[in-house]
Amino acid sequence: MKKLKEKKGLTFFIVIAVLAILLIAITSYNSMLRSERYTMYRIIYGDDALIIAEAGMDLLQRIVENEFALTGYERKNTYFKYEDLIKPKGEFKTVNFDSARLTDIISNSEPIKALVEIFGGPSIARIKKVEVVIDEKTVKYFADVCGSTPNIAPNYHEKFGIINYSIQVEFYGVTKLLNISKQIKIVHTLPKVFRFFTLFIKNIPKGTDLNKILVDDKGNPVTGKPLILNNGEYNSSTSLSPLDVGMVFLGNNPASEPLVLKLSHGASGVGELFQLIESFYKNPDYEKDYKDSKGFQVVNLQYGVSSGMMAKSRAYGIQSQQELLSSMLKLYGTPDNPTPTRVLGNVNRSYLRLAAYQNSPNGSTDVGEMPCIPQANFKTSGIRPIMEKGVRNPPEIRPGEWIARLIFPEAMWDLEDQLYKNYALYMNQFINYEYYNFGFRSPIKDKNGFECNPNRIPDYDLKLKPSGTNGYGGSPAKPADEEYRGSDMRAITIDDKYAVAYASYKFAGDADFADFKKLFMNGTQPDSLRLGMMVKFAGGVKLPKMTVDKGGIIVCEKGDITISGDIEDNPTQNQVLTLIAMDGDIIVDAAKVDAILITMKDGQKFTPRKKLELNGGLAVNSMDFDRLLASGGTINFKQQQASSSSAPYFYYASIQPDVRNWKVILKNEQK
Amino acid sequence: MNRNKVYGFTLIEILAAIAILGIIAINLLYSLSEQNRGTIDIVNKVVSSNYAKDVIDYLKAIDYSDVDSSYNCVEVGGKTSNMKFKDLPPLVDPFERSVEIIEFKDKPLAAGSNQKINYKIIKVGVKFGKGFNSRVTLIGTLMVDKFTE
Repeated sequence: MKKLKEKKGLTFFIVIAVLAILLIAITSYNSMLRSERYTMYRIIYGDDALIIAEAGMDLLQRIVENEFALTGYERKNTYFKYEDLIKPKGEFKTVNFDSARLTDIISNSEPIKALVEIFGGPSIARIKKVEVVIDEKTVKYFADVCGSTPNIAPNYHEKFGIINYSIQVEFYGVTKLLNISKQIKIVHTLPKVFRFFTLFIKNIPKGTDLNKILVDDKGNPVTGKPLILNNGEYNSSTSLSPLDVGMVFLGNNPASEPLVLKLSHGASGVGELFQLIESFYKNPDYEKDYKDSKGFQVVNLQYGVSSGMMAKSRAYGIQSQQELLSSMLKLYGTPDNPTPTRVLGNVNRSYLRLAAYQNSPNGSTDVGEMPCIPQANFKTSGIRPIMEKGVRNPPEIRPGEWIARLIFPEAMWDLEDQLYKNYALYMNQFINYEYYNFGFRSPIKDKNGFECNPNRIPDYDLKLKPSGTNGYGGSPAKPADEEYRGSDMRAITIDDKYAVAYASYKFAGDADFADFKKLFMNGTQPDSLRLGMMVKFAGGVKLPKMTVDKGGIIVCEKGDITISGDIEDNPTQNQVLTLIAMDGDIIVDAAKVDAILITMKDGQKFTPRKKLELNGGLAVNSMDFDRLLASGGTINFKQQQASSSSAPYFYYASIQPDVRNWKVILKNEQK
Repeated sequence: MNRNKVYGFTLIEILAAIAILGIIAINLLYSLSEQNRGTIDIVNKVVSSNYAKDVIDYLKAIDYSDVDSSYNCVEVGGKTSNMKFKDLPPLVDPFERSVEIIEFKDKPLAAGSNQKINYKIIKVGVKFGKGFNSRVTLIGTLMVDKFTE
């Protein structure tokens, strides 16, 4: 009985146990299926979140790139400060874009809102967080990586690095984070050394007579058509530094045979000023011939203006608001087109400048002691040449009156005192505002009263160069070409170290111009160029008529750049376009080009086919002056191209093309 | 007496066990069936999701200007297909795919924004199942052109 009862109970429990095991097994199976299904749903939700994130990422990149593409004064620093991107090596820090603003604009953008609705609405899907960052650890500087171009000081504002975008999307509680990194380049759109030049000719062909393109007393060309150089109006009413105006460099080969530029018969309203880099002005012939003369040879022409209060002096050299007083050296110009040209180069100068050494009536007063008299408004018929190269007799030292009679019209000769005063006024323009134009400074004498070569005076640099001070309350600034660090400007080259590495888009050649247009000339105006970066053509390219709405650089590695239509600047945009032919010529078959044209390859010449109006600058290895004289034209310096290295407006950030291969086409394997 | 007690109990036990087993089995089978349907559902959803993504990836590989309403279509698996999607895996029965491209031009980026933008929304729906039980997977993406401000 007892045993049977025990057996009955056991059977029941066995059944229950079996059932329990079955239940557990099935429940587990059930749970496994449920879990699997849940996992599958999470994967699907995750995929959907990723689809939204990718769409958001596309929009985010477009927004950031659009912000980068804004130029000059359009920039509003909405999501980041452009100045932060442009900071030089040592100052540059990680740039964190405004995450809250970006998240807000992406989440509340109409496209994303419409997309989220497709997925079920904002209660199901939402953009959680958007971040964009350029980590300083990823940033490198072109000057360090690419190597610097000989004779050009590196620009440590120019850099490249990684920009990282991230976007978080939540879908049914599943959060997905999408990260994309791309290379970003931050470059200036102008080769820095050429920013200051109106005309840069590395080598003037031997035998070229530049004097042929002089003009006469009335400003008419002596021969051929004039090439008018306008280095930009120096506007004394603004705070612009005189260094913002353009310069002319006329190099020649061999350097031992300097160019001879005659003095012009300067007309009223026409004036030029020129400077020579110290080591350029060497006239061994003169030293040999006129060894015993006093105060003739200009031994040092290191040029600069004060970096202190006088740096932005309203008056400088020839004052443009007044009638120009005289022409010291006329290269090219007409009364209607004054050319305050500053020339860098080894020209042989034989002209009035020498007369300034002894300037008082009795010839004893140093120029440095000239009385400071308020400026007046003078008119002059200009200065006639008083000596040319090859003249054997040294010029005499003349009193101030003698010089004044050369400068001022006869009507002003009435009173000797007045004449001297006028002369003092005239000279003061140079003394006061070009006090580091040492051509006018008193000779430096040694203890025996002999003149010294300033270059041999040990503390000369200390006294007279940028670290020193002068008697006018300021320190001389660096020369205008501060980014140029060599002594021979003919060594300047635009090499692939400078140009090619900066390119953000590359095209094979003219055959790809349609692709170029698709990217950069795709606005509502078909001629509108909106570049904003540097692009490279491997082969030659033909540029059609275009309006520059966003500047940049177009580099042609091999072959010629042919300008077949006018390139005109949009006057409201103030952009600068630079065209560089690295191994070819620039052939201009247009009447107007608003650009900087550079062709620095040895043997390449600039070949205009017709009269040209060029607004920007021209830097060429050589120039066919005969052709130029036959065509004539105007080269106008564009003031804004001389913006300083740290001015953000001419820096552009370009993001490299997407490395993801969107072109993968799914193939139907069953076919 | 003793023997009767022993057998009678066992029968009741078995009946009870069968009853319990039956009740549980029915529930379990129902549950299994539901799970099975859910699994089929999720598998179909994955497949339909893939069908939809195929179109999105395909269209995103095409230039913005070339994506237009000519891609709009309804394909029925095993019956009709759009030749423009011939390179994609073929749609099988019982799936049905609809593609709709909606273009927006010069639209404000966001409410109150001065920035205007061109964009296209690609909307892809894939339906599977028949009649009352049919389900639709709906996904979409954006193609962003440029700011036109």
